[in-house]
Amino acid sequence: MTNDHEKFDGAGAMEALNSIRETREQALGKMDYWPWWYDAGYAAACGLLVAGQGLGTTIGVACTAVAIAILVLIMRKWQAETGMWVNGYGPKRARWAAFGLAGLLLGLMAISVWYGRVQDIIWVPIVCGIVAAVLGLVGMRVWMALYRKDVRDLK
Amino acid sequence: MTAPVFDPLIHAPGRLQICAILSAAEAEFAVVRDAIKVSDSVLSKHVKALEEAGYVAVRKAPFEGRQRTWLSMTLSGKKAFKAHVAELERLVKISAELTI
Repeated sequence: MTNDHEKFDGAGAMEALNSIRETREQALGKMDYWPWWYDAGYAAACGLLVAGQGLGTTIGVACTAVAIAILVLIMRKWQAETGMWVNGYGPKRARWAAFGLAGLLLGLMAISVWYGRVQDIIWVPIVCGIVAAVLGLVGMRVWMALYRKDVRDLK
Repeated sequence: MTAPVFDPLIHAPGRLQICAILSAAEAEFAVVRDAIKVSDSVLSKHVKALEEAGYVAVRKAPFEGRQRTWLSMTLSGKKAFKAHVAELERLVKISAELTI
């Protein structure tokens, strides 16, 4: 170990770091893939998860089941087409975008339940669902931007 | 803060790029092979060495009737890679200081 290390100089180390950066850029390029069906599926899943909670137990359970099925389908398809995958809660900076989005969606779910089930005002859960769909799309892009920073940072 | 440690297993040609990809994302065998431009057998050897060191995990997943091999970095692999990168950065820094 020491011998290998001693042979190594600053130029060699710089070359190795550049090689790591280039390879990671290549990987990021492969992940720069935003097909319409992923956007549509993710937005629909977020919307259904939030709106469904305020629309009665049966509809709520059905919406949750459909949303999970959509998420599984789009993630599997995206994995198959890119050959890559990242756990949303894994990367250092990006995980906060994932937690933030999850927190916002939970807040919207609570509003949806309160107005839809307790106050019986049906349009509120639907509006919350639409807001959740938009937040899902924005959150996904914020997550990707932070993930890119994480990957380029090397640390 | 990760302590800098030079890891010859990671530093070997090809393996550094494999670790660069897998420390950022889980990737399919074919994607890694194409990225580092080696044959299946060469990549298999690298993966085996990294797997034996406990740095890389291999899983098979069926998709559309065929098995796909997915590679990911374990926690100890991520730690070792981080320490290796820290050492490379330390060497660059020392070299820059000596030049000045």
